[in-house]
Amino acid sequence: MKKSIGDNMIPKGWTFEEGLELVKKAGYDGIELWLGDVPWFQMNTTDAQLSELRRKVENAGLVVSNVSTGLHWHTPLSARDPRVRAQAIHIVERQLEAAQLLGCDAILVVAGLVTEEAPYNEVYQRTIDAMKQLAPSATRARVKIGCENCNSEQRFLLSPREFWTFLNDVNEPSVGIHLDVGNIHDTGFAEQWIEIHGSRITRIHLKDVMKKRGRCCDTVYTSLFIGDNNWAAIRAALIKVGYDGWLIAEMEARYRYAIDQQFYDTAADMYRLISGRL
Amino acid sequence: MKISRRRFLGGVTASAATLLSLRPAGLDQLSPRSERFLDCVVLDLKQHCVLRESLQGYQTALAGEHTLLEAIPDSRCRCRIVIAPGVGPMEPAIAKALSGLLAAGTNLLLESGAGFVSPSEFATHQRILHRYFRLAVLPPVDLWAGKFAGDALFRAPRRLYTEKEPDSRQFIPYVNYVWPSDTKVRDFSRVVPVSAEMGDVIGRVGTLPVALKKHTASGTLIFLGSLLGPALRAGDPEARSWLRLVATVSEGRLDLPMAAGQLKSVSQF
Repeated sequence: MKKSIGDNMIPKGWTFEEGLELVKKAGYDGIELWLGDVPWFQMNTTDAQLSELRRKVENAGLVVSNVSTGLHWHTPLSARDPRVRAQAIHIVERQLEAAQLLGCDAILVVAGLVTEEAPYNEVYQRTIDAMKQLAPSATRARVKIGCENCNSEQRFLLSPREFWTFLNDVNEPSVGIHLDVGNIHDTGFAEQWIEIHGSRITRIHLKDVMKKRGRCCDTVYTSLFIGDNNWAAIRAALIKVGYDGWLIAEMEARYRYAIDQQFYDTAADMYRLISGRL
Repeated sequence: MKISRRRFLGGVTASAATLLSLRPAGLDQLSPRSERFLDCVVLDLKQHCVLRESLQGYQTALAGEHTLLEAIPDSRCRCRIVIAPGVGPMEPAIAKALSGLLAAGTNLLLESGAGFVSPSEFATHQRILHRYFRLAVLPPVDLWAGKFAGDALFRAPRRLYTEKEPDSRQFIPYVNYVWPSDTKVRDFSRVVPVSAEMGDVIGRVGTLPVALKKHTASGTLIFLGSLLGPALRAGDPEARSWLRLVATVSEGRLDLPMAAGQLKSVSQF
């Protein structure tokens, strides 16, 4: 398994090059690029600029692990307004193009958003429609679409079997799950999600979670190994299903001081997880 | 499986008529050669249907009991009920063809999708509805914009909660249909209010009239200012029952109540 971390972790005010240098020094193999989250990668970033980003990544001795985006929180693929949905589709299409240009084969999509206004049954259907619409483009681009399990935040696909049924209903080999082992909270166990989804896992986000904490105003997410995830079981499940892909750190709780130290500490934790020294 | 004579004959006739009359997309008239009978028609108005999922909703809910047409039938083609889902951008040709059906005795369910069109398209939609159907509609209301959720829409219910501070979150904007049966169906975010003076109000969101029944000399127009199709597609059982009831009651004259007690007066609502 290989280690990656999101470019949205690069401290504000740093350049992309400075961030890449830190990521490399800290021991990562790759970097996850977040469309819309960072100044160097926006919807209006041109193909030429993307090629330049790739060159910088490779010059730093890294590769792009995947292309993610948080843009669908505000522009959901499951929106009721067809114009919003069209924009959401456009974002995914741009992710697919970007992935090709950046030389990687997976993107992360927040694939549906249940709200008070947009009820579950509608969201389910529209998300399937969106995935079916996007699947041919993904197949042509040879890029997998990984629908992330943002269970609590999406209020959608809350259990592993439910997610499994959803992927069966989509029924497209180019659409799988981008599994975030920190997002499962106290409604389940990451290792069981890994077992159930197996080869459908496109990428894995790593973070820890304090399951017993209320969400309120504080995050329940924390650095690896200090939350409630059973990391030994997670590792065993990854081995059992033969997952040998990217592990991508997504540290939502950030260091307030010595910001760069979090890159080193997280990389070291990931190394311990991969090597089984738990 | 039981099948009524009407349904059997309707189905056979519709199938035959479909084979004879289906044309590619557009507003081409169906064959004027001879009079035909179609039982329940769902129209696919292509680019004039602003929300495809609404069309899919009607198709799903009516299962095999409808004929899908991509062309508005000629007024010589007799139809019991024609459903036009998600109508957004309108053109006089469409309105003329639909009003022609009404005049010929067809019952028309016109579902407006104008909450999801541009302001200029809405203006046209509004003008054409008035010209061809004598319907007065108001600009779309976003039910989930805070202003409306706690304000004008729910003026009456709020009086029930005088002890409390107004809290828009306690009001879930269901569309309350009172005809042909009392039914609550989830809203679809934006509604096109319709003037109550233009017919019998059959559905409201809060105090806002959004669905109306209007009798013409021969047929009956059912105007829906809130999209029902998405709820049909999502499998909402109340929405499906409501549609089935409309489709059934329109077997007779839509201006007659189905049975005592089933039609609630507007004043009661």
